[in-house]
Amino acid sequence: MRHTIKYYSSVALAFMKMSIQSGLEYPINLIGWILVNPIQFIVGFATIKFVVQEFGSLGGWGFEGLAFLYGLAVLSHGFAVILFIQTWYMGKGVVIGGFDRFLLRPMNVLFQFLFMDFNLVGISDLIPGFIVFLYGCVQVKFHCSFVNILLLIMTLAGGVLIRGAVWIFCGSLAFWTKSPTNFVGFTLELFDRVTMYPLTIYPRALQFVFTFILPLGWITFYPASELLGRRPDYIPVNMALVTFLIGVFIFALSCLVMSLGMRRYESAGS
Amino acid sequence: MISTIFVQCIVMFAISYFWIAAYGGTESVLGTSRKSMLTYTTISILMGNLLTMNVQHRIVERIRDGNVALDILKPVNVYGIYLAEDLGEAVNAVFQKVIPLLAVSMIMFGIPGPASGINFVLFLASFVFAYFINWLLAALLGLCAFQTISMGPMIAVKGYLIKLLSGSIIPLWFFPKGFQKILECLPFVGIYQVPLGIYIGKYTMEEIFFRIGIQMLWVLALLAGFIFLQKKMADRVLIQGG
Amino acid sequence: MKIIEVNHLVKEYKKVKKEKGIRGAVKNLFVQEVEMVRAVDDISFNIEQGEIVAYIGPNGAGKSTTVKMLSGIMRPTSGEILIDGLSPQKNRKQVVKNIGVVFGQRTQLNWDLRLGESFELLKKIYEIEDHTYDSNLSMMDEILEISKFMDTPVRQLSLGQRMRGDLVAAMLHSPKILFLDEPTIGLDVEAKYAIRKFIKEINERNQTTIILTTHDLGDIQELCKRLIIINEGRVIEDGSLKELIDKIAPYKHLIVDFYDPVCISHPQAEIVSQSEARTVYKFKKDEISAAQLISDISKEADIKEIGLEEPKIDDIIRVAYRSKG
Repeated sequence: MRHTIKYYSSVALAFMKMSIQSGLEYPINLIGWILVNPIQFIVGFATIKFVVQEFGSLGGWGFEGLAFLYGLAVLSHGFAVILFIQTWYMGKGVVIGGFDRFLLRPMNVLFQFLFMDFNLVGISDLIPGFIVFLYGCVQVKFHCSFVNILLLIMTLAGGVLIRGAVWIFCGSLAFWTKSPTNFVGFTLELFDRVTMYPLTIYPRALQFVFTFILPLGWITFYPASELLGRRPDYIPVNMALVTFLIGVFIFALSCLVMSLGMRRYESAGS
Repeated sequence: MISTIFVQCIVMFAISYFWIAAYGGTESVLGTSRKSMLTYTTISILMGNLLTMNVQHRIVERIRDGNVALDILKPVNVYGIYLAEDLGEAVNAVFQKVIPLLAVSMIMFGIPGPASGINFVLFLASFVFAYFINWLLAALLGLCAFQTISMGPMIAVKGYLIKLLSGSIIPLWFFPKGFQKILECLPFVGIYQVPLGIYIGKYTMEEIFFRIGIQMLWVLALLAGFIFLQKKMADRVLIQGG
Repeated sequence: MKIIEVNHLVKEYKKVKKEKGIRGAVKNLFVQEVEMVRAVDDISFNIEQGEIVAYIGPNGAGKSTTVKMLSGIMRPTSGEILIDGLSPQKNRKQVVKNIGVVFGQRTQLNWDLRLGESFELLKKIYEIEDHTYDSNLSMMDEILEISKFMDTPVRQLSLGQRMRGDLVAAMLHSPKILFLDEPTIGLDVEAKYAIRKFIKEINERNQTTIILTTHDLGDIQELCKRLIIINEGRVIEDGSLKELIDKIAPYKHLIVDFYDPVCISHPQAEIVSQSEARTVYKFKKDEISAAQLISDISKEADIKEIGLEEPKIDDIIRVAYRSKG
C-alpha cells in the first residue's frame, strides 16, 4: 500500500514536471496568453463596476460582494483549467485511440488521464484571478482567519472538482457516441454566467436547477455567501463545506462514468 | 451549429436576467426603460450572429501559407471574395441562428420591437455601416499578422475589446462620463451602440443622422487605412520577393 | 515454452446497416438494423518464447484487432488469451509489464520534449532500476545509436529516428514480448536496416519473442522464421516461410538463353515463355533438380546463359490471401 502511494506520487510528480516543461517549450504562446487573457476579465470586471455605479446593486449584492464573487469565480476557473484541460479533448482522444497508451502501462488508466496534463497556460487565468480576488477581499474586509482560509481552500477545491466533473461527464459521452462531441464552449459560458454573478438574479426555477440538479451554484455563489456571512438562517450547515463535499461526490461519480466508458472503449475499440 | 444556438441562448438569458436584476424595482435608469434594455440585449445578440468575420482568419492563413503575395497584387478580386464569403455567412446565419434565437427570445421576453417604423429603417441603414466598420477592422487586424507571430491571442483581444468598447453588452451611456467621451471617438461604437441606440429610440432624429454620418466617416477612414496598408504591404512584398 | 496462447479468439462488432438516400437516413433515426461483424473469427495459435513471428494479412483482415486484444487494449468477445500464463484482460497491469508495443503510425513519446525525458518518465512508470535502465540503454545504443539524438526534441526527429526512439521506449523495461505494428513503414533503407538488425539482436541476446505485423516483404524475409497469415478474421496459414513456399509455389523458374533461337522441351518442365533465344522453364523442386534440368537441356542445345529464379514472395502471399484456409 505504502509502496503504491509512493509509486503513484512519484509518477504524478514526473507528469507534472513534464507538462510544465512542455509548456515552457513554447514561451511565445505562453506569454501571448498571459498578456491577453487578463483583458477578458478586466472587461468583465469593468462591466460590473459600471453597472453597479448606475444601478446600485445587483440581485441584492453590492459592489464589494460582487467583486469578491467575481474574483473567486476567476480563480476557480484558473485552477480548473490548469488541472483539467485535458478533459476538453476527450472526445478526440476516444476517436483516435488516444487512450490506448494508457492501457499499455502498468498503472490505473484514470489516474494517468487526470494527472498527465498540468497546463501552464492556465496561469494566464490565475494571475488576474488572484488580483481581482484580493481586491475583492479588501473591499469586503475579508477576515483572514485560519478557519476562513481553510474554508476558502475547500471552496476552491470543491469548485474545481465540480467543474472537472462536468467536463468529464461531457467528455465521457464520446465513449458511447464514438464521435468527438465538444461541449466545452457551452460549459465554459454556462460556468461563467452562473459563477460570476449572484445566483439570485436568475428566476427561481433556474436557481433550483443550479442548486439541486446541476450544482453549479455551489462553485462560487453559495460558499461566497457563506464566507461573507450571508448564510440564510434556515441553512444549518457551512456552505463552503457543502461545496467541498458536493465536489468530491460528483467528481467520484464522474470518474465512475469514465471508468464505465473505458470499459466500453476496450470493447468497442477505436 | 446547434451548440452555438445553445450557447447564444445561455448568453441571451443570462444577460437579460442580469438586467432584470440590475433594474430591480426601477422602471427606467438614465432614460432607458427595462424593456428597452432587454430589447437592446436581444437585438445585440442577434446582430452578433451576423457579424462573424472570417476575413481576418483568411488573411492570416494566406500569410502563413505564403500565398499573400498573390492577394496583394490582385486585391479587388481577393478581398471581394472574402467579403462575399462573410456576407454569405451572414445570410446563412439569418436562417440558421437569428430566426431560432428570435423565436426563443420572443417566448421568454416578449417581442423585441423597435421604437418605431422609422427607427427600424434607420436601424437597418446604420447596421449596414456597422457591418462594414466591423469588416474593415477585422481585415486590418488580419494584415497586421505580417508583423506579429501568434495571432490567436490578438484575435481574442480584439473580440473582447469590441465587446466592451462598442456597447454591445453595456450601452455606453452607463459608462462614466470620462470613458464615454473617449469611446465615442473610437470606431467601435459604430458597430453595436449606434444601430442599437437607434433601434430602441434612444436618439433624436438629429442625433441619429449625426451618428450615422460618423459611421460613414469611419467606414471611409478605415477603407483608406486598409488600402494604404495594403499598398505598403504590396511594395514590401515586391521588394522582398514575397 | 509457450509464451503466448490464443484459443478460439473471437471479436464481434455491431455494425449499423446504413441505408441509402434520404429515406434511409430518416429510417435510421427510428429503427436500426444491426449486423454482427466478426473481425476475428475463431483464431487459435501458440507462440514459443524466442520466436519471431510475422502476423500478416490483407488490410482489414483482423491483424490490428488481434494485436490489440493480445496487448490488453481491447476485450475479446470470447476465447482465451494467455500471455506468459496470465490473461491480459484480467491481469492487465501484470501482463503489460512484460510486453512492449510499437505502433508504426503513433508514438508514445512526448512530442515537445527531448527524447531522454520520455525515457525517464517510462523509467518511473515501469519502476525500472537504475542499473537495468543504464545497461538497456547502452545495449540499445550500440545497435540503434540513439545517444546521438537523445537530447533532440521528439518533434524535430526524422521518422527513422522517432521509430528508433519508440523501439527503445518499448524495450526499456525488458519485456519478454514485443509487438511491432508496421515498424518499418515509410522508412529509408538505412533506417530499415538498423531496425531489422535491432530486432534480430534482441531476439538473439534476450530471447525476446517478437510478433511483427507488416506489409513489408523485406521484413518478412529478413526476420521471420514463422508466418501466420490471416484473412477475414481466420488463420489461413501458419508455418515457416519455406513450408509456405513449398505448399503454394513449390517450383522454380529457369531462364535459359541459348545461342540460337530454339525451342527445347523437357518432360519435367513447363515452358512458361519462349521468344527468340530465351526460354523460361518452370519446374517442380521435388521432381527434378535445377542441375539435372540444365544438364538435360544442354545436351539438346548450346546454352549461353542461365538464370534461376525463386518464386516471388509477394506472389505467394497474394495467393495465400486469396485462399480460404
